[in-house]
Amino acid sequence: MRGECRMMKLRKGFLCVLVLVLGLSLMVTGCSSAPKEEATAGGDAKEKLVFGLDDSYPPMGYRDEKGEIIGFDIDVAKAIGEKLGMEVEFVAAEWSGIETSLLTGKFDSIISGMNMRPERVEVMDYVPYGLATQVIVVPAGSPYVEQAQDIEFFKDKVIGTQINSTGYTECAALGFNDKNMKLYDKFPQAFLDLDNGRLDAIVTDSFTAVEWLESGNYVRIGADVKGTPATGADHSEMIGIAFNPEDVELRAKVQEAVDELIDDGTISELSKKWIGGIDITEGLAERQVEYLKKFK
Amino acid sequence: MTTFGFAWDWEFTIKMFPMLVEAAGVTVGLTVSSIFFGTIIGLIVALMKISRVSVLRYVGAVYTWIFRGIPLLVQLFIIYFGLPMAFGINIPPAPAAILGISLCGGAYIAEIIRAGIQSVDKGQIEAALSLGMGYGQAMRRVIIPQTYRRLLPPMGNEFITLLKDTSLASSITMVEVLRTAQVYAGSHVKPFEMYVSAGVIYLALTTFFTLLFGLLENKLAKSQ
Repeated sequence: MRGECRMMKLRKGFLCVLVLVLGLSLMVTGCSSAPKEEATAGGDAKEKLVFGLDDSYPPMGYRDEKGEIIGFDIDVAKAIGEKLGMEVEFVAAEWSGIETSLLTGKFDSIISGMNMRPERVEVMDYVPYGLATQVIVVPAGSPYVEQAQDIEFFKDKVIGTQINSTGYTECAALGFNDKNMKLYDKFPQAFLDLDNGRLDAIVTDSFTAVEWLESGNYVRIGADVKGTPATGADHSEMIGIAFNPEDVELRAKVQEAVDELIDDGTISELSKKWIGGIDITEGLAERQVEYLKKFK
Repeated sequence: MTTFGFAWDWEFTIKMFPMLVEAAGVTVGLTVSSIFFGTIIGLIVALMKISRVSVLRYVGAVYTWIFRGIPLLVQLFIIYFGLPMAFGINIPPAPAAILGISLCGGAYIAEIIRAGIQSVDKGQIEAALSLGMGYGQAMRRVIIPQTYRRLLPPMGNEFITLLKDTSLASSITMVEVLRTAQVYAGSHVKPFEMYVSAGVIYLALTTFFTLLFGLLENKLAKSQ
C-alpha cells in the first residue's frame, strides 16, 4: 500500500514538472515565434524598423509559394530601410485591429496600402506614398458588366469587401448595410465567395483590383464607388505609411526617405512593376501638400 | 504610449451599444438553433454508441472522433468556403454556422447523453425488457426520462460553451456580437470600448442562461 502511495506521489510530481516545462516552453516559443521575418540581411548593430501589415493583400504584401513575403509595400519598405541604414522586419497583423496594434507598440509602422481615412488620420500620423480609389469588381461575363453604371445599381444585390476597409466605410456611408454588404476578414475569402456566387460584386482598392483583374476572371465596372469614371490610374485618396504620433522623429526620417525615393523614381518603378503598369505616385506631390502642412 | 492618456468614450459607447444588443439576438438565435439540432444529433450518436450493433458503435465513435477533434473554426471554413468549391453545395452564412456548430456541439452532447444513460442502473432496462417492453420503448419510457435531471447541469454548460463558440461564425460573415464589435472597433478606432462592451453583452447572456438553467434544475429536483 505504502509503496503504491509513494508511486502515486512520484507520478503526480512528475506530471506537475511535465506540465510546468511544457507551459514554460510554450511561453518562450510563443514569444519568439511571432510571425516576424527578416527581410534584409543586415549587420548585427543595425537599428530595426518593424512594419505591420496584412500579408494576404496582393499585390501590396502577400506570400509566394515558398511562404516568403513579397509585394509592392515590401519592396518600398526595403528601399526605405536601405536609405535609413536600418534593418527591416515584417509582422503579419489582423486587419480589423491593425491600428490598435500600432498604437500599442506591436510594431513601429504600418505599410499595407492603407487609405488615409479621416478617422485614421486623427489617431495616426502618415507618410503618404500613393493615390488610390475604391473600385467595383464583378465576375467576367456577368451581365452587370454592361448593366451597372454605378454603386447604386448594387443596392438590391450583395456586395462584399474587407472588414475595416475603406470600401466598407465608403459603402456604409452610401447606405449599404448587413443586407446588401458582406464583410470578410481577408480579401481572398471575398473573392472565393464571388466565385461561389454568394456575391454580385466586390469593392476594393484600385491597386489591389489590378492583381485580381489580371487573372481574367473579373472585370471592373465603368465607375468607382464615388461615382467618378474609372480609369487605369485612379487618383482620389491618399494611401500612407502609418506611425504612432509620438514617433515624431521616426516619421520625419521615413518622410525624408520616401521623398527621395519618389524623386529618383524608385517608387514609380516599383509601382509599375507590381501594380499592372500603374504609377500610384502620379499626382501625389500636389495632393499631399495640405496634409503635410501639419508637420512643418 | 497613447494608452496613458486613455479616456473611455461614453458617448460612442452609448451610441453603439444598441447595435450590440441587436446583434445579441443573432447570437442567441444561433445558440438556440444549434443546441436544438445538436441535441438531436447528440441523442442519435449517443444511442449508436451504446448500441448492441457493432457497426453503429463504430459510426458513433468515428463521429465524435472527427467532430470533437477538429477545431470548430476549421469545420466552419470547410462548410462555408470549401463545400461550394468542391461539390457546388452553397450554404448561406446562417445555415452554415448553425450546421457547423450543431455538428460540433452534437459530438459533445452525445457524450453527455451517453454518460447520462449509462448512469441509470442496468437493472432498470433489464426489468423493462422482462416486462415485455421493446428496446425503444424501454429507452423512451423508462431510461431517458430518468436522465433529464442528470443531463441538465452538463447541458447547461454545453449551452454556455456553444453560446461563446457562436463568435467564431463572425469569420464566415455572420453579423453577430463579435462581428459588430469588430466593425466599429476598426472603423472608429475604438477597440477598447467596443470589445469590452461585447464582453459585457456575452457576460449578460451567459449569466442569464446560467440562472435559467439553475432555476430549471431546482424545479426538476422538486418534481422528483
